[in-house]
Parts: sequence; C-alpha cells; structure tokens
Amino acid sequence: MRANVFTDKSLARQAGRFVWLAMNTEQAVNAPLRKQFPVAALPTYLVVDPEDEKIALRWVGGATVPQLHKLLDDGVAAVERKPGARGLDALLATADGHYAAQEDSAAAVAYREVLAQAPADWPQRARAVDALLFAQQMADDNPACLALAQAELPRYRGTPTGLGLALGGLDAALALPAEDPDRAKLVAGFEAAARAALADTALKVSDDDRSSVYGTLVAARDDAGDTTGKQQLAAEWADFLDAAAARAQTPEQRTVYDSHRLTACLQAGTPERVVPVLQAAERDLPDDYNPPARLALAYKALKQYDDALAASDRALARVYGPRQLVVLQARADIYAEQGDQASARRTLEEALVAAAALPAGQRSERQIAALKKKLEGMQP
Amino acid sequence: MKTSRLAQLLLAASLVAALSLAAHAAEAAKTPSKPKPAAAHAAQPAVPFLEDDYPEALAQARARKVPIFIEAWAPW
Repeated sequence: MRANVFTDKSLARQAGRFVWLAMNTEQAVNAPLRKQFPVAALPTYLVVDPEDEKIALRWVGGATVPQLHKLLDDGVAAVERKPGARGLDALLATADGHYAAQEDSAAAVAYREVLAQAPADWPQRARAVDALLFAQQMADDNPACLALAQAELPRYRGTPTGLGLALGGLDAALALPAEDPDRAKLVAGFEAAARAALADTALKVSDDDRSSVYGTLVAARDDAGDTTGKQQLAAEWADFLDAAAARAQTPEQRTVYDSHRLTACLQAGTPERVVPVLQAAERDLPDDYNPPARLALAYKALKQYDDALAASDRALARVYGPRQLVVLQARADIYAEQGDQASARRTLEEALVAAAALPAGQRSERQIAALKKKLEGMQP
Repeated sequence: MKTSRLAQLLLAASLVAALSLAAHAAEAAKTPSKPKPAAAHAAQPAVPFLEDDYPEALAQARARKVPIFIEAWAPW
C-alpha cells in the first residue's frame, strides 16, 4: 500500500484532514500501541478520534485509491457523527463501534441489522457488507459467511465487494466438511464466481487483490486433488505477478509482489524461477530481511540446504520483532528436512526464548504454547 | 477489501498458524506487503506520514483538531 497506493498524487488533497501515522507492528516501540489498538490482520487502517483516543473507523485489508478516498471521507464523517444520530446512521455507528473494538459477533449482529434496513442504493452499504463478512470470518461463523456471500454476491458482482464475497464464499465452502452434501456445488459456484472476477478486466481492484484471487483458486484446485490444474493456475499466477512487478517504478514497488511470487512458484513446482527475483531484491534492498528469508524457502524447496541455511543466516542478521520467530521456524524446518534433528530442536528452542522475550503487545501466549508443543513432539 | 481466508491467515496474533504450517504456506498467507523502506529508493507518499510516533501524532491531532489516520503494517 505504501509503495503503490499512498504514493498516488490524488491523495494530496486529503493530507490536511488527518495526522498520518505509520505503525510498523514489528517494532518494539509500537508494542504499547498494539495493545491499545489490537490489530487482527495486516494491513489495517484506523481512523482515531484524538479527543477520546477511540477508533472511529476500522478497515481491514488492502484498498485501491478510490476505496481509500471513500474510507477517509467515511472516517471524518464517523468522527464528526453526533452522539444523537438516529436511524441508519445510529445503527451504523453502533456496528462500526463493535467492529472497531473487534467485538466480532456483536458487530456482525449490528451490521446485519444495518443491512436489513438499508436501501439498496445507500452509499455505505458496500462497506457494511465488507465489514460484516470480515467480522463473521473472525467470529468463525462459516454458515453466516456462506449465507452472506450467496445473498449479496448477485448485487455486487463486478465490484471489489463482489470479489470479496466470491473469495469469502469460496473459503467458507472449502471449509465445509467433505461429507456435506452441498459442498461440491457451493465450491464450484464460488470458484466460478472468483474465476469470473479474475477475468473481469474492468474490475477495479489492486494487483494485490487479484493475486489473492489466484491464491484462493490455487487452494481450490489443490482441494480438488487436481495437481495439473493447480500447477497450471499457479504458473499463470506467477506470470501475472511477473507482469505486475515489471510495471513497478522502484525496488520497493517491485518487491511488494515477492512473497506471492515465491508462493506461486512453489505451488507451480518451479522454485528455481523465483531465485533470481529474490537475489535481485536482496541486492536492491540490502537491509531488508525479507529477500534472504524468502530465498531460504526457495532453496529449501530445491533441496539446496547449504544455500538455504546461508540465506537464513543473512535473514537472521537483519530480522527483528515477532518475524524472527517465523525465520527461526523456517530454519528449523530446513534442518529437519536435512535430517539434522538436533539442530532443528536447538533452533526451535531459540525461537521459544525469543518468543518469551517479546514485549507485551507483541508477545503471544498461543505462539509460545505452539512452539512448546512442537518441541515436545520432536525426538530428544 | 480483502476478506478471504488468506487475509484471515494474516492474523497478526496468530503466528501460531505460520509456525504450524509449512514455510511456503506461511508465505501464502501473506498479502503482498511493503518491504522495509530503504531511503535511497523509497517512493514518496503523497501524504506526510509520521513513523512510529503515536504521542507526536496525538499531540498534533489534538492541536489541529483533526483525526489520526493509522496505517498498521509489517515489513513482510
């Protein structure tokens, strides 16, 4: 977003309406802020009223420039909304309040009430649908996600909200138990909707979002046991990302696509394809831990374990914050795949120490428990 | 807005998921995101971001009587 959306000159007219703060959630200095404003997913955008330090509006996920303009306008309106608001505005304020506080179930109830009363052409309707879908996903309410996607997709086909509904519906359908009699039909329907969205060149969504469509469709082919189809689609995904990266003006803009390029190439069974991409990224951004961390994964897939460990060394020398645990976990996996269980265990023990040392706001007890469980499951 | 399970897997609080998945699956869970900025190459945002300084943002917002816009991000 910073590299590709916040650089758009049209945003300059919004500059004076806010104080703009970038919060790197990996930095220890932001740990107290993460506690004050918990973040469920990245990126997340918050509009905060400075008087009471309450979140007036929350937006989860990427946004196009037009979506961002609307989000900013809605954010100002939410801060200025008077306490005595009535009708739909009051209902929306209640729903937004629960959503901002990450009270997902309560937010879902409130947004459903909003949608029940909102006219079809109400300008806030699409945002309410977006938020309802995410709140239901966070609340793990799979049936509600399916119902929402089925009910609202026809209305929003050809829009970013429709794309979200197609993906949300497909995810929810894939999560159904294999014995569910409706599963195959639902998966097929939402997969077709997601493919149609991908083919819709008029649909204004970011390359990031299009890339995520590929990711979900690849997962659907994998779920179907269609290895050939999965690899063909993943190769198409890699082509799409190569083209997006080729349009980038700066190394920052280009490397935005690297994590998905790695995944696409791994899923396509062609990890060697992404190695030169990541090597170039490491040259361009020598302080960034991401290129060597990704290279370690590509080399591991190629079974070039010495190269993988050397790349992991370079990543560990640069990484900070909670991400170091993921880099250490990947390193342990390299050792384990090599058959060096002792080093794998020692690396996971390092990860456990690092996890316990993170400050409140970054420290995760679930994460610590998962590391302990994994260690217990390893041979001594 | 991305609301897929891919986005759910971004859960900042659930590195558990990333830890329990194959490493490439952890990569799959991520939205393409910003790399760590390098000053020599950084594209300039069209709005003036403060970096990692909430007290300063709060003070400025109260003085100017405008809201704070927070972008929560990670370098990966």
